[in-house]
Amino acid sequence: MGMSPALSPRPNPPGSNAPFNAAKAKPLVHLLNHKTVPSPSLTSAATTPGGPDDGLAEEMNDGVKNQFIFGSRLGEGTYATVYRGHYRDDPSKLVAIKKMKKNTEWQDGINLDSLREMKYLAELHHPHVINLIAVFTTKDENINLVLEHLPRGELQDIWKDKEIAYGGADVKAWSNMICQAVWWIHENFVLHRDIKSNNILIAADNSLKLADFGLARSFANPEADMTYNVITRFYRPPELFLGSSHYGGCVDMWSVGCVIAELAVRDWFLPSETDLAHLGVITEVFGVPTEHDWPGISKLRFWKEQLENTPPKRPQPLSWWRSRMPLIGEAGIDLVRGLLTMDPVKRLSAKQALEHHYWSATPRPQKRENLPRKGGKEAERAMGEQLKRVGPEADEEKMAKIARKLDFGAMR
Amino acid sequence: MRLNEDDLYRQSTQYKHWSFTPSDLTRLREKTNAHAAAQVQLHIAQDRAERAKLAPLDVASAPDSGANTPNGNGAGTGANTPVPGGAGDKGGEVDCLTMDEEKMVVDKFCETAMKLGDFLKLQPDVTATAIQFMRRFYLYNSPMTYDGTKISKTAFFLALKLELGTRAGSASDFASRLPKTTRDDIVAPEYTIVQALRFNFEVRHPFRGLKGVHLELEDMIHANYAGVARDGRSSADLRAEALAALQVTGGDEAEGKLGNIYAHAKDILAMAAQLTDAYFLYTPAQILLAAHLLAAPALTTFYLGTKIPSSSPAAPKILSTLQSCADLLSSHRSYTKNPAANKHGWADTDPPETKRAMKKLRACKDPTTQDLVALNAGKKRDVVRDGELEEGKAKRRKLNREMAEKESDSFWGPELKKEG
Ligand SMILES: Nc1ncnc2c1ncn2[C@@H]1O[C@H](COP(=O)(O)OP(=O)(O)OP(=O)(O)O)[C@@H](O)[C@H]1O
Ligand SMILES: [Mg+2]
Repeated sequence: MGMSPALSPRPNPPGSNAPFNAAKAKPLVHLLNHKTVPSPSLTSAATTPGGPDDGLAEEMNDGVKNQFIFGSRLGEGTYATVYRGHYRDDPSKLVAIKKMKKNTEWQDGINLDSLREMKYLAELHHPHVINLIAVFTTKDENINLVLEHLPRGELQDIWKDKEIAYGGADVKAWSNMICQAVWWIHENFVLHRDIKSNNILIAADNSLKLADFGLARSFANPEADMTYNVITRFYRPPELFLGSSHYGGCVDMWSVGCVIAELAVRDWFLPSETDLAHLGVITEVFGVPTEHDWPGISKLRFWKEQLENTPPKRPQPLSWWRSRMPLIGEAGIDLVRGLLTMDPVKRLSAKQALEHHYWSATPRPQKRENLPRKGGKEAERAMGEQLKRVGPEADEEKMAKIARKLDFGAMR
Repeated sequence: MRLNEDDLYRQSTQYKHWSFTPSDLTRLREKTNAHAAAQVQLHIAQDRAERAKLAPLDVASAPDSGANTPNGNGAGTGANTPVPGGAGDKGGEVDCLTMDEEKMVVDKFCETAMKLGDFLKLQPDVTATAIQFMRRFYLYNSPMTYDGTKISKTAFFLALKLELGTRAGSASDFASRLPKTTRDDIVAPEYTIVQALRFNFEVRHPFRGLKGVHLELEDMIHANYAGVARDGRSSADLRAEALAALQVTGGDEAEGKLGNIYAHAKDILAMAAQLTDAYFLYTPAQILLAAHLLAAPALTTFYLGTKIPSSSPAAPKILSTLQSCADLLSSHRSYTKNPAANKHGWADTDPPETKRAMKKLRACKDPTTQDLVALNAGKKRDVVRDGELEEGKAKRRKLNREMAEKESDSFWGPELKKEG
């Protein structure tokens, strides 16, 4: 079908002019001059600690800034350019420095994506959530996020790269790390709202890290009105297409289901061409939900225009799932179907997902060090060397201890 | 597999970066005050020297006409430094605010911000977040350096963006709702603020926790409390004791009283908790229980007993912490035992020492940081021109640097280690 990530932009549902995401999609003119900014002078900024308003806060900022050295460019996102970096006092300790772009057209100060990313990552420390090490501004008023360095790319690269062979045990290990991350953020009353396989990055030790918290928000206040204009289309749950504006962790769990299914079929699971068409793609697999399957559905904002006059349709039978997802077995299929339950109330929560029998069924989840990875033998050896040099970060170790103390349900 | 609230709280930046012992808090404020006072002395002296150089041309003809724009609206007035102060400015040492005076001034800024929040009809959470941003900001910055009115506008906009996301509206929209305010006034100080906030944007408020306690108590008086008291009292026992603590006999009466208690405690959280150091010194759970304790001592003691048996060795310590937090909250002049009183009546009567401090502030503002819009634009220019700074500015920076280096070792050294 030739789907590319470019066809799965951030959401833009019917009836919404999505001011925020529109801004994001706009080409950034000043990108062209951007390469002059992260010059080596940044690293020697210690010699010019600022303007006439130097206060204690700025000194504090300089203290943080001077701990890091910028290196080569790693990649480019819509809102940020990412550089390799390392600690000044230990060049073997790598980091990724995400320099948020300053859009001169942006009239409203620091953009919401950056604010949210800083807000939530500062609170959420977990072995499977990308670690925000520090934040500093450079004197051109760019905000820089120092993140743990994740050199093995995105989870999406794994299933897309047909050179990489993987099996049921690998999918299980990956899926479990994702569920743990999502459990943790939900336990902290944070919704990610953009879970997808290219927002899950891979660390040098093969562990997965949930990243990109630019759309995250708190759901601690159940009365708060939330936008249904979130989550990349392929991963967006039916209730958001129907205009639900009060939701909780269930929206992320649908996305988790899509990611696991994607790993299982090694392809997009619910690809579609447009937002309008996507609900049709969902009902093709899951049937047309009725008030009986999903109490309250007819009260959702777009139900009338989207579903009321759709002819009834039954969901695909179990045999369909068995033929599509042999890789994850009966238990895996049961988990995925639990996650991809149309009615958000009946959908598995992260906690329920972690308690699912899939994890204890055979095969056992793959050991982290044996997980397949991108690159040939050469790359692997180089990576191994690097890993030895870098070593796990102290913070990560501490978190791993905490994580062990929490009893992860069936993860005996 | 449920995490306990305390464990979650200890992970938070509010705990890691914004919780202090009283003496740590005082020490931090002393340092901020000392640093700012030195800057004020330096900059006012420089300002006078520059003026003296110009004096032969412009003999003593009040050079400060119109330059002093304390209320925003500085856009486009150029980077010229406003003249410090009023009539009494005859040279010599500047009489700077003391640490205690700074605190009074900041408290006053926050009271004004609270009124602004009401005026703009913002949700209580947004206002509370904005006020806490201001309180955090002024731990690292002095009101002599940054004007409270200007900082509060930006703090509100930041809080709006963080709490309401895309629904926050644009900076221009927000500016248009404020008197004499432009978009630039809102946006210019943002970097200065987020830097002082250490890029921590989550503020954990006690409001929802209070609601939780209220709902639990309601369940108790209706004898359908699902939890069990630690000591195994039955739900009928709990109901009887709750009613006794409320000094009522029937459920209806109890319900009404409970509602009043909740409203009273909520007011304490919305005002006294915002306008004191409560957030710096206590956890959200402690704050809400202290507010509840003030609103209903007997009932709160009963409630605590269902969580921690009074025989527990931890009980006395918990109670004394709550009592000291309650003392702090009730020390604020917004506190009233009678919750029906006029909500903001107290705010129009500044204590005389606050009035004095506000007056004193007018003569000791740092002249280099009053026009934030120009300052921001200047910074951007600096980046472009980098290296070709005017001599005066370069000199000023050198002085700044020397002073900063002297102070930062003792001050920031230990703080920053945690960061790495
Ligand atoms: N922690 C990291 N370690 C190593 N490389 C990274 C890290 N974070 C990002 N990158 C690289 O930088 C690129 C840009 O990352 P970023 O998160 O800014 O944007 P994105 O997620 O690709 O795009 P968008 O946010 O617009 O969807 C990534 O594709 C990746 O190659
Ligand atoms: Mg991304």
